[in-house]
Amino acid sequence: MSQRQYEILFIAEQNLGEPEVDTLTATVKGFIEKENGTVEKVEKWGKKRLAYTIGKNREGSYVLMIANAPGSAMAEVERRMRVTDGILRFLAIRIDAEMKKADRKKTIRGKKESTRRASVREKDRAFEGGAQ
Amino acid sequence: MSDMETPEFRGRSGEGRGPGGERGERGERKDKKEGGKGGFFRRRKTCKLCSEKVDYVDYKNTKLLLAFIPERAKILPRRMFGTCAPCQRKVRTAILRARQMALIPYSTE
Repeated sequence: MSQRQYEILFIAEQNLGEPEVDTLTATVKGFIEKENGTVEKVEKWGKKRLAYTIGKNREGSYVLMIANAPGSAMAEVERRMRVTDGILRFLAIRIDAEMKKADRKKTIRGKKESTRRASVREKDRAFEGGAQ
Repeated sequence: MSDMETPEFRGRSGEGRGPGGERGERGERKDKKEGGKGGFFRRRKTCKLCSEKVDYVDYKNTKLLLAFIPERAKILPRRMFGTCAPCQRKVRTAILRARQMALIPYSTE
């Protein structure tokens, strides 16, 4: 089954301490691994003030995960996250396509840039040659 | 044709009207500023994202997104920022995502 790259960001409730957030992270990781997915990176942002209150929470702990998993698995992971206590909100988006697009753009621009520079250098050289 | 006449000759009240029915005022303004069809000059806005070479508009990058959010936190139309259509689309989705994750506000009171 084809693996796709996903980015999952979730907010844990404010009354949870760091160890509890860690266990929560581990459970989410468990959801992904159960569905034949792998977690590539976990990034803890720590407690941050929310832009607006979500159910009496003025702040929340953010955890960002990058996971490789088949698309069908993500539906199940999302369902499980929805019923997990302690998760205020989460966002799971597929990023592989967008990243690929961005990379392609970057390489195209790199090529353009190098050719442009080369042509400028060429001109410079021609100019200097003419002056001498 | 207007190039032929000197601007000093053209009066405000339209004495210096050209053969084509062109009004003097218009000619005057043209000399002061820029010209063009519209009458007054609007600086062409360029897409910030394209010129700064942002390939992927990340919803987590609140610093970038906040540049596109005015005081009331509404997403403004393209004509306000001069972003190109693809970029505006990217910005829009990024803002919507960031709002959902409470990174930026939906509105401010």
